[in-house]
This record gives sequence, structure tokens and C-alpha cells, in this order.
Amino acid sequence: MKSLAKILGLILGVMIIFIIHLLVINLFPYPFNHINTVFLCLFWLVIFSGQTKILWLALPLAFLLELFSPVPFGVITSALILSLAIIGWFLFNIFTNHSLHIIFLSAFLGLLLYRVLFVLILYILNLFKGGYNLLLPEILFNIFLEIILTAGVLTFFYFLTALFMRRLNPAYIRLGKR
Amino acid sequence: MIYQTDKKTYYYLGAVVLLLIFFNFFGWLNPVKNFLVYSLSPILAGTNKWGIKMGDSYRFFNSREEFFSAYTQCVGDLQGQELIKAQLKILAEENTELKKQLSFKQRAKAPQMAAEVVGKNTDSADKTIIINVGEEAGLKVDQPVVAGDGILVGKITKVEKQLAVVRLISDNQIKVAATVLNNERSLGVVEGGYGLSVRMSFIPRNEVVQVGDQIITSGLELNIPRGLLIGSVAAVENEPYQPFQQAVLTPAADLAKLTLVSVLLTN
Repeated sequence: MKSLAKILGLILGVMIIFIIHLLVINLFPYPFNHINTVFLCLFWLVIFSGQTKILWLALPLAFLLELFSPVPFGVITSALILSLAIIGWFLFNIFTNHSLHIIFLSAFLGLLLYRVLFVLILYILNLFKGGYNLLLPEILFNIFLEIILTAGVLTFFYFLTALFMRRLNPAYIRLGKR
Repeated sequence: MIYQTDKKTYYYLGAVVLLLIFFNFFGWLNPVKNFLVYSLSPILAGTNKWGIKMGDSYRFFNSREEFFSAYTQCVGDLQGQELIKAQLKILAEENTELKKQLSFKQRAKAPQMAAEVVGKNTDSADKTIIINVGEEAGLKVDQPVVAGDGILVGKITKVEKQLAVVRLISDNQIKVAATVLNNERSLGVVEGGYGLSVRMSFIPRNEVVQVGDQIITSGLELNIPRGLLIGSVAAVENEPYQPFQQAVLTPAADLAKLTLVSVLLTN
């Protein structure tokens, strides 16, 4: 019963994140519609939970994104999971000071890595299949907007949460008051 | 906070991703994908329609005068439109659009399939829309998609059982063989990827292209018939050091507010 409730909760969580992503894309004015809500939520969960298991959530979310995307199947899933795994490891092994700057930098690097992997995988597929020419200034500008806005929003949420939650507040970590 | 690096999760996750790609390659995931597409289409369509309605609400003003001028105009418009019911307006718009498409359908040689736009790109790297007809309705990759009275808005880029992804003419991946309606009937290639406008390249330098000239499809491309309107010339760039001249085009259809389109079943 408990595991069933857990599964239902996970499905509901995935659906909510996906619907928020659609709402942000469709309802927000330019350039705020470039905020990558899926990455933002997943990155947030990685910080908040501190567990590798959270990466499993990326799988259904990436699958849903793949359904409505023109890029070949697997590109989004691979790029998203790899970037989250790498940046999650960095966040808890290298960038261990969870100050606002570090959160912004981590989100920035995470999204940058996601987009680099995305373009790289497409480029490799292009060698075999052809038809993609992604490195155009407009794409790069859109990616820049996506990275800056998503990292900015994430840092803002982190700041707000750190005010109320000791768990995420670096001041308490430093003073050993956890 | 200690990050619980569980190597097993990485291995299992990697294996599942590889399995999914493998299953998808052989089409074994299609029932799941079709079920999800069928279930999520209403949500996608709802948010898209809501977005189109809200898109008109966002206005940014550069000066106070501009704001007051817009406000005065808005009050005037409101007085004139008080009696018009919102539902009636939507129905009237749909009716006009369908009549245009019907008129085009009667003229067009290729059979057509009307479709509703149920969503747009979920990724900022592409400019695409999602329509609610797919492989079952006879859609295939590279078929042209038109709006209104034969205005080319894009090409089919991906087809699922019950939906299809249309790459708009403003997308950086698209290339369409086109003709300028000038005296020389100049040929060129229309390309997207320049924000809201599109660009026509490879126009011979000695041919005269003027602002306002209309651009249509040339018919030199497989699957795309001649005569579909693409847009009109907004600016011409004819540099002495370039072998060809270019034209910046304004698309004939508002690509951000597409609700009903038709797919020409050309192949």
C-alpha cells in the first residue's frame, strides 16, 4: 500500500513538473518562456534530496519531452541524465559550499553541460544521418537565455528556501547548527 | 549534507536508457508513446490555446505617450465590442479560417488533411508546432503545411501515429525552394533561423527585387507544389562583394498564433 502510494505520488510529481513546463513555455512572455522548468525542478530535487536516486525522475520527464520534440529519440534523455549526474556529483564533492554563487554557478554549468551534450549527440547523429545544423547564432542566443534565466530563477528559489529552511542555509552548516 | 553516490543507480539508469533507445529503434515503444500522446494531447492543446489568448495580453511600451495612446484605443475598442460574445468571436474566426482553407482546397490539386495545432516546441532549440493528425491520416515527413488561403507555414518533420511535428519556416533547419513574384521571377532558397523573420538567399545579383514583392514556393522541390505564399520582402541586401543577394521576408501568416492548418498530402 505504501509503495503504491509512492508510485502514484511519483507519477503525479512527474505530471505536475511536465504541466508546469508546458505552462511556462506557452504562457510566459519572451524571454521568460525559455526557462527550462524540467531541468530546474530536477536540479532542485538533486540539491534538496542529495540522493542519486532522484535521477530516476529524469527518465519519465525526458521521455515525455521526447514525445513532443523533433530531435531523434534518446537525445534529450541521454543529455539530461548525464548532465544531472555529473553536476550532482560536482555539487556534492567539489562545489560543497552551498552559497548562492555556487548554486548559480552549478546550475549554469549544469545547463551548459546539458546543451553541450545535446548538441554533441545531435552532431554525432548528424554524421550518420544528416539533416541537423544546430550551431547557428540564434540557437546559441536561445541557449544563453535559457541558461541565464533558469540559473537565475533557481538561485532565487534557493535563496527564498534557505531563508526558511536550515537544511539549505550555508550559515547553519558553517556554525554546525544543523 | 552527504551526497549518496550510488554507483548502481548510474549503471541501472544507463542500462534503462540504452534499452529504451533500443526498443524505440524497433518500434516496440510505439503503443506506450501513442497512449501517452493520446492522453497528453488535450493538456498540450489547452495550454497552447491559453497561451495564444494570453499572448495578446502582453504588451510592452517604450514611452508614456505610447501607453496612453494604446489605452485610449483599447477603451474605444472595448466600447465597440461590448456586445460581441467571446465564444461567437472564436467560432467566427474558425469559420473564416475553414472557409479560406476550403477555398484553397478546391483550387489545390493535392489532397489535404485539416489539422488542429495542439502544441508548440517543448525545447527552445527548435521552432516547431504539434498537430493532432499523424501517420494514420496519411501524413509523411516533408509534406508541406499551409494555413489560411494557401500560406506555407512549415514542413512535417516527424510523424507519430496520431500526431505530427511541423517545423515552421522560421526554424533554422528549414530550407524551401522559392520564387520572387518580380519581373524576372527570381529563384532562391527561403531559410529560417533569423528570429521572427525569414530570409531568402541565393537570389542572382543582377535581378531586381523590391520591398513588398511577394514570395511563393517555386515548385522545384519534391513534395512542395508551386504557388504557396510564403511572405513578402521586407528588406533587400545586395552587397557588391557577395555573389548573391539576400532578402529578409515577413511571413504571410503569424506563426505564433496558428490554430488550424492543412497538410498537403503530396507524397
